[in-house]
Amino acid sequence: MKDLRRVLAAEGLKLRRTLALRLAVLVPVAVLSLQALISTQRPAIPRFGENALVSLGQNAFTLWTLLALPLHGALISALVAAVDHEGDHWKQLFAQPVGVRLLFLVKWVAAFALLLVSSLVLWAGIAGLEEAFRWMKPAWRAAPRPLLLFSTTAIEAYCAAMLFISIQTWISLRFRSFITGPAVAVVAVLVMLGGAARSGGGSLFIRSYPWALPVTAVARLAEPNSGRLVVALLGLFGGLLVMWIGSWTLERREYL
Amino acid sequence: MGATVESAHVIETTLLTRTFGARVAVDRVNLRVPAGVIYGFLGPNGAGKTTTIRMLLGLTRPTSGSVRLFGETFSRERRKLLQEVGALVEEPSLYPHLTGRENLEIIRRLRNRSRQDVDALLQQFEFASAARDVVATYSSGMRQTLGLAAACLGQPRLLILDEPTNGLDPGATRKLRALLRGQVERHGVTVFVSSHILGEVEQLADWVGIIDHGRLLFQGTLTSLRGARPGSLEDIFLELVASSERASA
Repeated sequence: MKDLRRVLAAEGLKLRRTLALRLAVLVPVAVLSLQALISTQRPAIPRFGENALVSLGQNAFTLWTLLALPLHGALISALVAAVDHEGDHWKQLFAQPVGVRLLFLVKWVAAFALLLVSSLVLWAGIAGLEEAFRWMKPAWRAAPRPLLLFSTTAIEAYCAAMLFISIQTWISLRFRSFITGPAVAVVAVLVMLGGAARSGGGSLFIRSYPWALPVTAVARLAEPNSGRLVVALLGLFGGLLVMWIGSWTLERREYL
Repeated sequence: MGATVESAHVIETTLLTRTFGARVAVDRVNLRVPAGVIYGFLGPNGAGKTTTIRMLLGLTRPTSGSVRLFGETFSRERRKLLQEVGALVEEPSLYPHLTGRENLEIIRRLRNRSRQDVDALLQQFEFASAARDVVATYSSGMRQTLGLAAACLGQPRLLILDEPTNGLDPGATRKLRALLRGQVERHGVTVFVSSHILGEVEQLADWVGIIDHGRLLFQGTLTSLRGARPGSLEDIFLELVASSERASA
């Protein structure tokens, strides 16, 4: 555990002043800005029975998980791996008195941590937007604040994303080329869109396809749906399993 | 290294061999590096120096043969052994977006050393003021000095350096030599340094190993190399390499 703390502290220092850290904040801010723009175009008085604040959150989470997250996650994991691929730092790291597997495991932890930063920024931003629109559009004040719903959704979306982030991190650590991870993500998103068009949003494919888990986890927020929790758990445990297997295979590879 | 068996040789390899497909990069090398010396590992480019160093550090697995550092093998005592070894493999591995101090801080955390160790090292290498700048702004001499400082962090008993003077001007090379000498004389460190430059090894090393086509052609003190054959050191080196090339042809 002491070793893990030391290696994590070193990894944290490596990320200082990196694009990965900046993107972790900037990408959710961009999504929130887009959502703010969309919400200003919405009618001042919501449709009968509609909770305008839930709609705001639903849109923001959908924008995030469908448009931003697949490529953002791929980019984050590629940048985390590139910190040591560029300049070939592995030879220096493997010559240190720490376990090789630990050096890889902290890469996953770093990717998950950056995703957590993004998720927190998004969650705080949605809460902020909600308050801003309650103030700007008095008719929206009638609806109760869906803060608990948004908090649960943010956690579920984060957990659901862990599986594909874990796969992306494995790919980015395994292949030195920076472009491999993002290229895989582009293909994966196209397959997801093709699969959704062919078999429908509620199909087994979409409910188990790693890149589609986050968007499935935020679907139809206004309705009670235990399926979201299942998807979140699949992402969480799948992500940890991939991390475990991935770090094991990387440890066994010979460094040349 | 209290529990480690003390060995007469800090580095000891036995029939160390590494092949890449049909190519034999290192061929049954038996290195014997005594404690407290600077051992110059000399050979032309592509002779097998870097592959040997990678095997010494456990970065590359030998196809056959074994490596012992301080009398212990990597398979048994990897982490404990690496605590005693500082390394610089090819060019220094530095993060350009971080300052010199932050780069040392990463190694400090990985090696579990105190902050005072970093301060002392920066004083010793006269690098305290430059360490505040980001590495991207450094000259190659400064990078090399910082790389060496990183290798020396935590006072290792063995330094393994692969071509540490590559790309350095004569002034920086001289400074690096003085720093290495200081490590040996003040702290009793054993230095294993590879180079393809004869003059550099001649000025720096007490012991020398000459490798070509993966085979160790000579190993002993510099004096014994000079005494064994007539002519200058350059003549001796070229003759050894030429006879190795004739043998492999």
